[in-house]
Amino acid sequence: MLSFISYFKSTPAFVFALGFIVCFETILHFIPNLYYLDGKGAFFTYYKRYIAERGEENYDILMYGDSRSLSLRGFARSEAFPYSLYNFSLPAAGPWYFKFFLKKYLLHHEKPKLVIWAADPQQFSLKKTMAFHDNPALWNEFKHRLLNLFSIVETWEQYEGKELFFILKEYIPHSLLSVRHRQGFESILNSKISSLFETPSLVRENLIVEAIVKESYGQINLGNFFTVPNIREVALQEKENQLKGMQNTEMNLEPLKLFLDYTQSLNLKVVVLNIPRLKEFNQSPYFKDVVPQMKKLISKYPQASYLEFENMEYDLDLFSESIHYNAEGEKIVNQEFLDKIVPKLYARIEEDNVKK
Amino acid sequence: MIFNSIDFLLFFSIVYIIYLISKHHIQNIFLLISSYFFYGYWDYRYLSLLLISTLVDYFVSLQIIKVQTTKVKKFFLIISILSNLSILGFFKYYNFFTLSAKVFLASLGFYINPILLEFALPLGISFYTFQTMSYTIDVYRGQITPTKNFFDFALYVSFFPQLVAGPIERATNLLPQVLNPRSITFQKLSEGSFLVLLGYFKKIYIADNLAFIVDPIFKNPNSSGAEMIFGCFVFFFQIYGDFAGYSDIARGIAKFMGFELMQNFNHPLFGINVSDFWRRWHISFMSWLRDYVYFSIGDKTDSESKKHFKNFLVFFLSGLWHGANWTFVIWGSINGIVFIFYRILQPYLPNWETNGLIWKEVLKKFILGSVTLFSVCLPLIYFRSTNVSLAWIHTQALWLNFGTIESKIFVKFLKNIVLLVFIEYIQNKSQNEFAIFSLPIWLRTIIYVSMFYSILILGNFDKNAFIYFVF
Repeated sequence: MLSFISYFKSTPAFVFALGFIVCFETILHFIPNLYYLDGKGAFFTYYKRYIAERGEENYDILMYGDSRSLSLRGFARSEAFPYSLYNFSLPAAGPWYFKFFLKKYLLHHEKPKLVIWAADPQQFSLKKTMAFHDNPALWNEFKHRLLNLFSIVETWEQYEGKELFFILKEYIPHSLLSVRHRQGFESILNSKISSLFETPSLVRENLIVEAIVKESYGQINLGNFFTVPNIREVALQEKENQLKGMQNTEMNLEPLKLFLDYTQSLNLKVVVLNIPRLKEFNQSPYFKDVVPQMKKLISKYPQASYLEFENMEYDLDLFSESIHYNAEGEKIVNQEFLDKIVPKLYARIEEDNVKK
Repeated sequence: MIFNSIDFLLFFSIVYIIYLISKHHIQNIFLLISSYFFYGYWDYRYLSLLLISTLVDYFVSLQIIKVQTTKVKKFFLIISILSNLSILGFFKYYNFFTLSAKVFLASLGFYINPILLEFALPLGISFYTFQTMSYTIDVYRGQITPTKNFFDFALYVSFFPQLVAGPIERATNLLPQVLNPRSITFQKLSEGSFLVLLGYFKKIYIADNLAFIVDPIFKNPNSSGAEMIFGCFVFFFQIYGDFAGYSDIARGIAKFMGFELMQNFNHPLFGINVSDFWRRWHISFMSWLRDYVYFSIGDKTDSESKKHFKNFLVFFLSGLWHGANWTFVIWGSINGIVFIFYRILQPYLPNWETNGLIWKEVLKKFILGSVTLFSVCLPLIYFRSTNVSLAWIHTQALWLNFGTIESKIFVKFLKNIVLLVFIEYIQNKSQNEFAIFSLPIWLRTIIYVSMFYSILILGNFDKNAFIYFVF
């Protein structure tokens, strides 16, 4: 067997390079808030993780959902709102992680009074990581949602078999901070020398995101935050694509069941909230089939109840691209949420006992 | 399995640990199993083709050495060549020739509706069939004695570092290394580490990032002539980074295990004429064509015109080998014509005396290098374009719509290649690919760290397959 010490002695430059890399990666661990350098998507995930872990403010109601439920505004306790609400929704991450994200929150905070499950039923079809296995470009785009949200130990707990292997091997390079925050470093390395002493543009953008999310208790409306061109032809095309996709979408209520089992074990009240979507989607066979099945499942859990908006069907005019609300849609949905849904949530909290 | 994936890094880590603690015979069996796993990880069904190719050449070569008459030896050689070319022809060229025949017959007024095959091209088929054929031809020529150990021979054919994209190894080089115990030295580990780092740098940082510049230029039928010329130069670096990167990684990991694979690229960027360039580019393949095609159809007494024909044939076959598409055939043919022109004009080209002046020497090499690079880059329009019509539109842009290029993209390209060119310059100057080792420690450290973080931070991690996998 070769003596590796002798090997290193014979190649001093490799040793120095290795030493530099180790030092650099170690120093990065001591730099706080490095995630402000990242792209908006990655930053947003980190920020939600930070809120879940910081343990400073206990919220009465927590919302877990997807990119559309992310449009619903949270709020602090006040005279008008005796119970606070924080929206922990994240885009393009599926619903499988909800249980574990709630678990993380509970490690650092008091138990909330109510939890809202607000993922669109269409998201239930998504397997944890399967959708990404054969699409590296898509995975690269979205991997931070799953990898940045949890530590490697927490990640291990969530997967098994092929998916565990997939996620762990993706975690290996991700454990290097230079890789984890490569978007930020890349933008610094590619910036002009004259701008090196200015606040990096990504940091400036993330500070804006932070300000919005801070003020709205976790809310951000993707439909008008990103400058999606509001072109009707594009929206119509997107609508057709979505409807076509729905024809092949398999229903899988397993993540909801997992979440309900977990909250039942904690004796934690859950409201499964169905939020408005495009009229054509809501009338599709998929939704006609999935909603009754959801209700049937929920009825088996005494701590859970189902709630939906009075108007579940919005016209295309209220969306930026058929999925996310535009400014007008955002305004309408939040108005109904505050006026009609929040009182029902409060009533649910104030019920003495969970339903039998 | 591709080198630029975590799957491969995990695979190799496990293989290497077991390899290090095993004895020679076990190492070979284990490497064979690992190589089959490596290949089958992509699609296990195609392992059968690899096995057929291996079995045929194993038995044929043993028969060649057993029989006495040249006629029977030749018969067995033909069996080997036909079976390998049949596998290659069927899986790689069937659809191409069938569709071409359909189009040709349609132009004559005959309409046919042939059955087309609908499966993926078996990975690395052009590489391992050429490697096994060279073995049998060498046995036939009496240059090597065939091995009786099937597993050792199977390992020679399927050795995973070079299985799917070369270098196309000769039995004279690789087989003795399979048969005899290998030693792992400090020098091999150092060289291997450098080659692996350089290979990943070329692939993930250079090639995959340059793809962002190249793809839109070749996709757009309205690209200007200036953009096409620029696109060809960038594509040259992309394909060089991709292919040479694969070869470097292959050679690096082979060195870790004590193997020495042949050098596949000898800094082609610094070729000073087309002949010099093709001696530096894809050496294992070009020398294969030289040894088994060029030298097989003539000798030193050939007339000039026959030599030109043989040269053209070599480049034509090179084009066809690269892909079942007329674009590759045209690309190979253009290179053949350029090469013949060079051969004809060579005696009349001025011999610039530099009188020992360095600046004159540098200027001479720069001018010759630029002309050479230009003449090998421009035909790449046909290599990179997806079909002949689009390639022709791109070619016409050279005189119909010359236009300009954005300086921003040009600067981006230069920033991308500057470190590679510096390393290549150092290597080429001393004709030693490990010349970096003689630089001052501080400079080497900077180079290694720069390469490492170029890969990690600036590299493209979309796990792009190597371009040469499809050849």
